[in-house]
Amino acid sequence: MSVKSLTNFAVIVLLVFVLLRGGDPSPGPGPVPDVDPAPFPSDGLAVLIVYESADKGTYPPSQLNVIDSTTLRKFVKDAGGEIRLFDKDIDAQYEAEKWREALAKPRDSLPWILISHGGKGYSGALPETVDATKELIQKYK
Amino acid sequence: MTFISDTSRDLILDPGELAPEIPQGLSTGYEERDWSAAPYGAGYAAPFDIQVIPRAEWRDRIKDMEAEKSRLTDFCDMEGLTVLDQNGTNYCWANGPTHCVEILRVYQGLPMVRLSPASIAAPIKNYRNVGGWGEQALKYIVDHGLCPQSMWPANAIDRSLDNTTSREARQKFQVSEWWDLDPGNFDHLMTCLLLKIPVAVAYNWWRHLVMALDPVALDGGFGIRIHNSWGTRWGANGTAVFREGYGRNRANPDEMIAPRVTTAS
Repeated sequence: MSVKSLTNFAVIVLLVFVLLRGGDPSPGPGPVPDVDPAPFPSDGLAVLIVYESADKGTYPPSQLNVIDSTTLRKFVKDAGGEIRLFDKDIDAQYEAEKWREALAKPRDSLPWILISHGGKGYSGALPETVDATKELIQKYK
Repeated sequence: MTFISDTSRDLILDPGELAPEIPQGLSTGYEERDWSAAPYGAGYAAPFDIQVIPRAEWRDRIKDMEAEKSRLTDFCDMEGLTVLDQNGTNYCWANGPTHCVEILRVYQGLPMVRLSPASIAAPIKNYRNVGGWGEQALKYIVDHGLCPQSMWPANAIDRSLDNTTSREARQKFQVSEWWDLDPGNFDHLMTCLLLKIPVAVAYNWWRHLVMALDPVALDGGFGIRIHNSWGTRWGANGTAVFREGYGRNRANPDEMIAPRVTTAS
């Protein structure tokens, strides 16, 4: 194979790679769109929202509604899941291991959401509305 | 059109509507905080240090909270968490902060656990049924924690309950972050309530400490919804609404503490 043929082949492989990556739909806002592996181990649906309680006043009101929503909690519980909403500095030493693991995962910003159900999951910035958050969780129910 | 909260289920207390004496069979127990020994923001509790939410935003935020069912009242309703009943003890000053912890746990998605005010008040006061102030209760919760009522009945003043088992159990029910709010500062109080942070509020005119849980938009002003610690037979199922202002049946407290993060357990 000539040098020119090798170069063409490399370009084609690169194009295919970029097209495949670019066609991957993002499950929501945030820089970590990968769904596998789950960010923390949980057989059932488990959702953790991490925030800074002293900064709640700086969050947009619609995003604050996500953290504060009873309907979101009910949405998760009705699906047989569990949900926790933790300050980033909460003392979780007495909590189940899955929540401790979830809390220890790296985050790029706050508030942050981690979802796990079996082998699938998500870790990323918290969506800005209750509906968008429900849509995101729906994918892993 | 100006938004006004739905208060059809509330008892709104205005000056003159509550007898100055304590209703028969009910007790209080708040002692005015010793501000020289425990000064605002310079003592045990950290001062409130976040930006106050402007009044211009209050009605819209309250409207959103009521529409989204994100008031602390909605969390209590969701979990069936009712008011405490100090049942003749002088431990109102421990009931308020204890109820704050109960509600914070539910807010954080933790299992609802009924906690014992006497498990902190009794040791603080050397097992005497006497008054105190909110910061004293908060300090004990931060340092030692609360016992579940299953282990230490809510109003039991009994030294034998303080043992190795209960001391171990109470470590799971501590507070790790909290604020001291500027006494009488209604904007501090409303900012916490708009952010769903319950506040233990004390009134010298009432010699009583209760818990504030919701901001309320009223015709011509604002108020707060409180949970008293006199059981469900008082007020509207144990709750009432005070309008902004100073003095009897008014909302601006003489002491305010706001625990905002509890141990996860």
